[in-house]
Amino acid sequence: MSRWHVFGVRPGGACPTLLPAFEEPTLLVFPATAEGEALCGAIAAASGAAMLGRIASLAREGDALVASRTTHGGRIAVRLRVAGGLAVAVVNDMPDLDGEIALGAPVEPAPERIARADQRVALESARIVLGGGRGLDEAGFALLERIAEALGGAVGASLPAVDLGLAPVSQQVGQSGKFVTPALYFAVGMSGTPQHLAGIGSATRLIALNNDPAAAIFRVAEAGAAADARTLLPLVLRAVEARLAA
Amino acid sequence: MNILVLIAGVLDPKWPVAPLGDGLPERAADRLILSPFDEAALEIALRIRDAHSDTAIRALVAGGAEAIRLARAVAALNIADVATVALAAPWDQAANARELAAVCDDADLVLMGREFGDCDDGLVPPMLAGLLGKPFFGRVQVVEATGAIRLMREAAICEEWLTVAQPVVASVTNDRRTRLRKPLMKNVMMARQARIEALTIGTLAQAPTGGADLAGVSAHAGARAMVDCAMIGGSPEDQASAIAALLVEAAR
Repeated sequence: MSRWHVFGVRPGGACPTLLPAFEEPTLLVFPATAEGEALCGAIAAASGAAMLGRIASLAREGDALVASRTTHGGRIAVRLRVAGGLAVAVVNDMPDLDGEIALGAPVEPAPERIARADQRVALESARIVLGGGRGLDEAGFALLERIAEALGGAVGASLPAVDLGLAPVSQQVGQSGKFVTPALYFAVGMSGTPQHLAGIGSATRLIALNNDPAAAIFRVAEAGAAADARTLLPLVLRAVEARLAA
Repeated sequence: MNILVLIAGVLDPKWPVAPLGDGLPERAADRLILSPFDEAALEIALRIRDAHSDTAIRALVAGGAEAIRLARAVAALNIADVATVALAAPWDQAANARELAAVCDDADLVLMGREFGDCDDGLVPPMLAGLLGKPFFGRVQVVEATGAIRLMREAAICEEWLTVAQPVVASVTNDRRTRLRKPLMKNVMMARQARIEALTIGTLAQAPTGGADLAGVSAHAGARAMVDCAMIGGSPEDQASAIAALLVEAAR
């Protein structure tokens, strides 16, 4: 960026009210996680910084910084121009940085923490994610869990599947859920909405299983099968177990 | 307890959206609905009132005249105090937070969806908390209100339970345990006649301390590029074997 300084912010460190003085113009970028968003909002409130939101790209136009992000569930793209001063944004992928700083989490009341019994491989760091949509039922999600367990992967879900109670919101992938960057994402019983695909890294390979051969998911998947998940998933589990045992 | 629920509303995703000239899509009244996060915030407020009859709920719905229909839908949940509040620039989270801070009064608990409207991120709630000088507790999923009011969210390895013992701003996410109830027909009828106050924001609240300009709006096809999908044919066993090969290869 021409005269702009871009710093990545790592949550954890000094109190955000003790924000260091920056040589402006400066953009602070935070990870697009719950913690990163909370910190970004707190910094914007404390500093009066321009808020760019969850941005997808950065460019310069003269001395101005231009950021792009989506709205309306990923269906509309907006470009925001900021001329100077301090600006803040959250990102899924960090841009080129001039440096990194650590800032403390905003003051939060201390909650009581109770360990969860269903702890598995973390969705965000899983090498393989099996994503289920509303085309599945409870038995389908149970099969996804078993395949994921065999592979050392994790199970994700679309927002409609979460709304149906098929998966907890902590497994929601998409614009309103988690952003995942596995090596492979297996999308099962989901149509492939932009809102869901926005939660999957662009470098992730995508394969799909849907009984509708015209489903949009097949337009972005490198491989797929048009078949009934109720029939195919038990066979996939058996085939995975056989290959792993071989 | 005084609870303030901030409702943003979203354009119904069942309908296509398109830029309106150089601006964002029109927020047409007949296409404005509660987001799943708005609904969850409302349900949590209602459950607290169910358990604590001295609870007062006030709901503010973002928007001008176009938001009145949505405001009546909120009033139909037996919430008597519902108003609309016109926000100057729905795309500008910082401006939204500043404007909302000006109308938040002295609520003991501010509840709002984790994403405010169609902004696609969760930045308004923590910024609002910062402006109000209140603690922030994000992505609440469940409330327990039989005794003390406790809000729960799931973290990676644990559940986090917050007892609401001081004023707090909480953002709420969707969860099957907090699906919004259906309104009673008598309340729907009453909501049609309800007085919906229209709040306006003072110029002081609108004055930005730092800001960005909207430089362009366009339709967005999605983040992923279109590819030629290799369809896996054959018998179900053949299909399963091919998929398993891809999965196992990626796992190793």
